[in-house]
Formats: sequence, structure tokens, C-alpha cells
Amino acid sequence: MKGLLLRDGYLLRQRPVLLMLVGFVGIVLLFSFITTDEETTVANTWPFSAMISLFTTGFSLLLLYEDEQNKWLNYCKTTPVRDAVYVLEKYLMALIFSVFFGLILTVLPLVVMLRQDAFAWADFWLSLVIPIGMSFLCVSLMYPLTFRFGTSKGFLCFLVIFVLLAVGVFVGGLAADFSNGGKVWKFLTALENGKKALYGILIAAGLFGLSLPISIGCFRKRQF
Amino acid sequence: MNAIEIKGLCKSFKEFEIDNVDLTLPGGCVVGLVGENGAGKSTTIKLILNMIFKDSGSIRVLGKDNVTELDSVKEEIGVVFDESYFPPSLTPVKLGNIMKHIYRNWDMQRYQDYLQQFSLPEKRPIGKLSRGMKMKLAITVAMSHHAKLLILDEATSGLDPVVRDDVIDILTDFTREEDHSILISSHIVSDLEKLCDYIAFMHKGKMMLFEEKDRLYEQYGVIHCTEKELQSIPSDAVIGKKIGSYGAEAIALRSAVPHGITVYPVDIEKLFIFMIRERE
Repeated sequence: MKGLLLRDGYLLRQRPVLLMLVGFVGIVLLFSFITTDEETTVANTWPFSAMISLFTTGFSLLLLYEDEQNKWLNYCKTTPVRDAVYVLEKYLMALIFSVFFGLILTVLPLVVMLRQDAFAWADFWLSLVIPIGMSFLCVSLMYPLTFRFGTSKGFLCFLVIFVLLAVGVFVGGLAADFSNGGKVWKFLTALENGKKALYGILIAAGLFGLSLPISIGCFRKRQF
Repeated sequence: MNAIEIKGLCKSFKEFEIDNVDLTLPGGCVVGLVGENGAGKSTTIKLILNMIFKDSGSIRVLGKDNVTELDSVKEEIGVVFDESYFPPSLTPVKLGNIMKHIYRNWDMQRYQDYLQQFSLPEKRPIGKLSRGMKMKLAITVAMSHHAKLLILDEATSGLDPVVRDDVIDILTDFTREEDHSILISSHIVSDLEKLCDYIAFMHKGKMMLFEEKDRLYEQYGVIHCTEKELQSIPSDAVIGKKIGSYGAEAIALRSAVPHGITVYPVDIEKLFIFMIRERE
């Protein structure tokens, strides 16, 4: 495990342009928050959360992609590195990315709250759990597919499922609107408003944990 | 104990199949897996390492089943593929730092000694090393954790003759220890001729021949004769033949060649080429 973490650490250090990209986007977001005239609530940070969760997914995918491109993955299969350890290490990296980017994102609502002189721990936690939860959800969906089919095919499958889910949520939302608000829609609205943030993060973390053994199983079935 | 033991190995793909392959690598020996491109050498190696799943047959590596127990012997196996698989941005020193956490038996002193012996620059990124250097580095890594079995897939292809000779020397040194075995695949037969105790010929997914190298030299010979003289040799004793306007050239069992026809020593490459031509 330590060897794999070191390898990924070296890899990320060799890609400063990616970290610079994240820094640049962070600055742009910060600037947009500071200069906005509109009153911004913490819950309104969710589009940025979505963006950050995509970063997390992208970075996690990049590590796998590099492993495939360099044939390091094939090599790992010949070493004492067990399949479960390899997959676990990638999950650990995804967790690190999620928390790292989540923390970056909390800077923005923190600035907003301080500007409005209305700091509240509940809002702060909400701003942290939304991006982390979304990252967990994306990774939970993408990793099993990627470990089974490789990064290219896996990412395509992920996109298809992601779009289907988005369409499903949209249609479900419309249906809920027509029926004067269904349970699911009410739950999602409550999540967005931060009333049930804890449930949201628990569900996301549960899915993240559940997808780990699925990914290990998928990886074991993969041929090289 | 046999280092590798394959019995009745089968694997089907859409347009290719490994068909009932048997192969034994006795402990302390070197087996050369020879075959043209696409003969199934790399597939066989991947099947041994369980990177591809077999359809049927059995494979034992260092006495363990390759599906259920391979993890327990991976510490004792070193694998070298034909292309570099180490991250190009890493230096050999950083690579050593990573590998010491991957192999329990990693010997950093030995690794550094090899780096010096092979004149590998310790702090140059792997991506900037020549192909020959990358191959030496891969072999260095494979030998720095006290492996008992080396599996090399086309490790010498694409290298210039001098580097190839260096690599063969490194591998020869490795086999000086009694319990060290090597399975090496290549289509450059001359390399294998220097190194191997046994030769295995693969063609279109089938094992055409598996024999001790010295026995091949003893058994077979090259003859140059007329077509009529060739017909006097039993057809099952002729491995392959080439008939032209100048006469016939053939490889045949020495014992079946009549007196009066000179038999020249055979080289493995010629034996392989004639064998394949005869099949086709």
C-alpha cells in the first residue's frame, strides 16, 4: 500500500499544472463570491460542489489512466500487490481528493459567511459535506465500471449512467412537481437546504463504502 | 521441483487460441519460448501470471496453483515485459524507494549495486533513459528482491546487439545459483541459443516442440543434397525442407540420413524456420 501511495504521490508532484489549474479555478470562484452583489447563501454553493466533485472524479480517474498508460497496472499484477490493496489504495486517494477539494470549497462559503458576519457551524459543515458527498457519489458510480472495463470504457459507462441519473432526477422532479411534491423531491429539497445534510453524507459514504468490494470484485474479473 | 508446470493449457479468443499447451520449466534451468510474432508466447506468459484467465488446463508456478495460490509466490517471481512500465517521471532512486515497499524481500544494497554495475544513472528520469537502459533497469528490479524465477517476455527485442549481449550476460549470471530459473520468450532465437537449456517452439497457439537444446543439436542436422537423395530419407525424419534449382536443403534426424550425405550442425533458428515452413 505504502509503495502505491508513494508512486501516486510522485506522480501528482510531477503534474504541478493540474494543481495550478485547481488553484486558478479556486481563485476565480473566490473572486466571483467576493465581488457578487447578490446575497449568496451557503446552499447556493452546490454548483461549485458539482464542479469540485468532477475534479475529484477527474483526478482519481487520472491516476488510474496513468497506471494503464504506463502499463504500471499490468506490472502490479505481477508483483505481490494484491488486487484488493490496489483498489483500496485508489479509494484512499479518492477520499483524500474529496476531503482536499471539499476543504478548498469551504473557503468560499466561509468568506461569504464572514462578509455577512453570520458564521454558523451548521452552514460550514453543510458547505463541506455537499462537495464531499457529491464526490463520493461520483466515485462510487465510476470506480466499479473503471476497474472492470478500464478507464476509457469505464468513463463512458459512467457518463451514460450519470446522464441517465440526471434525466431520472429531472423527470422525477417534474413528476413530483405535478404531484405537489413527492417524498423523494422533498428529501432532495431538504438536502439542498441543509436540513438533512447528515443523511446525505451518510448515504454517499455508504455508497462509497459499498462500491469498494464491488470494485475489488470487478477488478479481479478483469483480464489484461 | 519444477519452476513452472503447464498441462493441457487452452484459451480461446475470437481469432486465436492457445491449444493444449504443455510446458515444464525444471528448477534451475532456462527455457526459451520461441515463436513468430503472434504465436502465443506473450499470451502463454500472461496465462501463467493469471493476467488472462485460462479456459482449461493446469498451471503451477513454483509448486503453487497459478489461480488460487499465485499471490503467495509472487515475492519469488521477477517479471520483465518488452516495454517499460515504470513511470517515466521517476528516477531509478525513487523507483527503488517505491519497490522496497512492494517487495518484502527487497534488497536495496543489491539494487544499488546493480545500478552501478549496469552504469544506470541513478537520478535521471526513467523517461529519458535509452531503451537498453530501461530494459536493464527492469531486469535490475526483477533481480533485486531475491527472485527465484524470472519471466521475461521479449525482453531483448528492439535492443542493439551489444545491449542484448549485456542482457544475456546478466541473465547468465542470475542462473549461476542452482535454484534460479528463467522462462524467456523471444523471436530472436540466437539470444536464446546462448542462454537456454530447453527450447520450446510455439506456432499459432500450439506447442510444436519442447526439447533440451543439446538434444536438438544431437538429433537434428542440416543436409544439402539432391531431390532424389532427399526422397531416400523417410519423410517423418525430415523436419523441414527447401527445394530449389540448386538442389535441396533440409533438416532431418541425423540417424535417418544415409551414409554419403554430409550432415552439418543445425542452429535453432534454422530448425525453427524450417519447422514452421513445413507446417505451412
